[in-house]
Amino acid sequence: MPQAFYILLGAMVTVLTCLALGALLFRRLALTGHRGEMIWLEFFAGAACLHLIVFALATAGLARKGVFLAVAGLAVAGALRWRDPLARRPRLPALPRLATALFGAVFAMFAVLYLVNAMAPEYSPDGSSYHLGLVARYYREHGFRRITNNMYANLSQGLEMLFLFAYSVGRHSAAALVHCAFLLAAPLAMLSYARRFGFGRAGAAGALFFFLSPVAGRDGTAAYNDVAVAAVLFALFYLLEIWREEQNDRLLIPAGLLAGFAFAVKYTAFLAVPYALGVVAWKLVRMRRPLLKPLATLALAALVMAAPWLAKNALWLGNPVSPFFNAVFPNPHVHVSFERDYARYMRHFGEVESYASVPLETTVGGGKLGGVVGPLFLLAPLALLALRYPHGRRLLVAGVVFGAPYLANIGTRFLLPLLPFLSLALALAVRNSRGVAVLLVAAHALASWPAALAAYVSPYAWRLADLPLEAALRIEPEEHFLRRVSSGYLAARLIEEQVPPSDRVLAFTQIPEAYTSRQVAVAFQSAHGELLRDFLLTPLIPDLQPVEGLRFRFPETPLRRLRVVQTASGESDQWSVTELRVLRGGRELARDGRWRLRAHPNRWDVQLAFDNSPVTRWRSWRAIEPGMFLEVDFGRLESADEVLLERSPDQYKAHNRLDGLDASGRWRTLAAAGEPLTLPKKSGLRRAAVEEVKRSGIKYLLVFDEDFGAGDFLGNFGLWRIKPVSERAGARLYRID
Amino acid sequence: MMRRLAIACGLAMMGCAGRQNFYAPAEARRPIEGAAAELGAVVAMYEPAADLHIAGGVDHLVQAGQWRWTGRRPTLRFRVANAEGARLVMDFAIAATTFAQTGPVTVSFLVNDRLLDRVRYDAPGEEHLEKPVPPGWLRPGSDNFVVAELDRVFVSPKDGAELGLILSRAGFVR
Repeated sequence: MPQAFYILLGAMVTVLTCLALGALLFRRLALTGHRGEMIWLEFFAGAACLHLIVFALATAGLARKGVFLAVAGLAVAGALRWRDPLARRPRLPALPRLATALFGAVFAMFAVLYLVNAMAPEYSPDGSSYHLGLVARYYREHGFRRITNNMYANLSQGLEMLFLFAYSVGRHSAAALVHCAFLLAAPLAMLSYARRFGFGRAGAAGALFFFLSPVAGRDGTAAYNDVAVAAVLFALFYLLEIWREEQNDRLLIPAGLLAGFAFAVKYTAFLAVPYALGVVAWKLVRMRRPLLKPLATLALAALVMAAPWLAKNALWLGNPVSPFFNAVFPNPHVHVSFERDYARYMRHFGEVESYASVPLETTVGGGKLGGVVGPLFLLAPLALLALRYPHGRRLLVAGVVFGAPYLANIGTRFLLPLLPFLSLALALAVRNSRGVAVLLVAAHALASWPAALAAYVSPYAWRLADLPLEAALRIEPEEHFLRRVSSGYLAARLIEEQVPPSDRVLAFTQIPEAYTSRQVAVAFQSAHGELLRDFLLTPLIPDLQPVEGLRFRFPETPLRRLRVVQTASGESDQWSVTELRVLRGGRELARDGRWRLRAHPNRWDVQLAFDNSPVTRWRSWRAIEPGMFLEVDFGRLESADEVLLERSPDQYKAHNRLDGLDASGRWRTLAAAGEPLTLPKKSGLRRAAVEEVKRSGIKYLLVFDEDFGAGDFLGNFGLWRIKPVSERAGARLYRID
Repeated sequence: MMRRLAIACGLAMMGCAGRQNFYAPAEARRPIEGAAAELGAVVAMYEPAADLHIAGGVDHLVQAGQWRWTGRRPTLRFRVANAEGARLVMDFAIAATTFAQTGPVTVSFLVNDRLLDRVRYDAPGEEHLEKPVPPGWLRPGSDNFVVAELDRVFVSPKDGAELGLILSRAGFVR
């Protein structure tokens, strides 16, 4: 059978299963609604249910195609068995014929563009690297494994569970098509909502404002999750609006499921739960109805969806919300310093100097923030005119709440959760101006079509560029297409061809891991990866080398413990100790098995200060603070008169004191400050660094020409004791000898 | 009941992973012997290993964290694992301030005392030299010397110090 068939089959099976599960849920709750409306809500609620089923199967090691197909079969059979006769449902208020035709024509044109792009081989940066990289791994390993070297594995992966279901049949493009299904369903749900509440024509325009937005089209046709989040949040809003009207508390169950599912798809949608609780509580208070049962129902349903992800992280990583809040939940897998730098980058994206440039960058620029929502949204302030209408007010409140996390990540696609609400509010605002909405839709459609986009956005803007029909249908083979458009793909295939299945690779740059079955640890993606990178950078950067000493001298004293304490603070400096040596009479005391070492913070790496390696060091991995310490418990009384810290110069603010626990069990300061020394440079650092990497189980290094130190790896591979294996498109693979 | 208890204990143990407070000293690493271990085929002047490569004629101070001044006859040594297809590379610059005094500079590039190339530089600015080394000129596993000999250098009117090139990187690539 042709590959295109399986791609479509994988996506269709997944979508049908979502619809079937949603229909079963709504039948079970006896929720009917209007004809032409419930299908969208059932799809989103069913997606939430399917995600939970796949999560359970992956936990049980049953992530297999046969099992998924059985689930699909049972769900569809159940939905057919207990189907609801449509005839009993009332119709939604009709849309004028012309509006229907216009909406249908524009929707169909862009739907084709989106479906073709989603079906083309997946090579989006995040989609092919971690969204599907992890999905592919779960499928190979038939479920979850404890992954500590990839922080992306710690994010909630609600949509990835649906991807996994589709991937089992149709691989990468089937997953992207599942996301595209959310992109197609969202505007239809928006239109249904508007029709139900009496502003169908404005709703049609608003739905298209969202649907045609270039960033929605690009994101929703890749294996990302932002459009799905936007769609789920809108579905939640829609359900709550129905509940507000009908006061049927059974609606709070799917609403709760969707609120929890929003969090399960993406952490940044965490406000869905407090929003839903707030809306329901507000309405109940105003109606003087009891709060407890409805709120408990809603919260419990949300918890069912969100809790598995929190529990998985709590059990495996010691941090339920990893990779965030590592200062609150200290763990060895993600450094506090990384989280701080990452968050800072996401707030500014490196290149954006001022928030004042964001409106233009996100509407017509796109080069710095990853795409555009389209010039139409320069009119966003007009949406405030929708405050005249109760629905406008509620749309804008929801938009403000769901858009709030944008301040933490100013990438254009992070505006997507806000976009459905803003789009409808904008359309409502101009509903009384005859013909304006049609003009706006037409202009938006023209400005959003790929050929027009190319004329005004940055060449680096993330966007759909064309209609790759031959690639979508696999008339152009997938391999050929990917080799043509993705240099990262070549690196992934290089690894696949040259690295034995059991060996692991360390890379400094993210690659499309979805296209290799080998395990690739990317340096920045985990604390362990950062540590390995630190080892390898030490020979290349003099400031990381142990060329400074700090000597603490004190009268010879029998001691139980010694503790070097940090007394200074610094915003960007980290404290580090390459080696801590204890001496008596000028001779170093042997470190024996009775010694017990402690550190605060980052206790997990304390041994790195006691291993005699010039390239490994204990680091605080957070800004210097008073009270940080390194401690040696001798396990008995031990006489000493000197402590020597060997350290790197990259800690300008550090200031240390030496404390000791004497025979009487009393802590006292042995030296208030150390005497600075200059230590001789060490040789053989490259070899020592590679030996540490090898010790951690890494057998290969992947170095891109743009990576720091690439020239040194290539020029001095003999010194590193690594062997160049092969090179492809600027990616060099080295084997560690 | 026992089974449930075992599962609960298992989960609790997983949850406690990484909660150990004390660690024993790690296995001590053996020192890497021999300074020659650092001598490679190519070196950037900011690297600590650059000192090992410099046989003479290059200042010991790294300027702006990147480059060093040379004198009239900077000499560097390198080791190559394989001489086949090797090319001498040198990234350097001629400073406008020194050029104002010296005018055009001719540099002779020698490998193991054999003249590889002679280039006249008529203007200040950044330069990149890359030239294949004829077979048999390099000795794999031994020290190989590279000399860049300048026909004229800037002489400081204050202290008579000689400044030649701004050297960033040199060595052999394949």
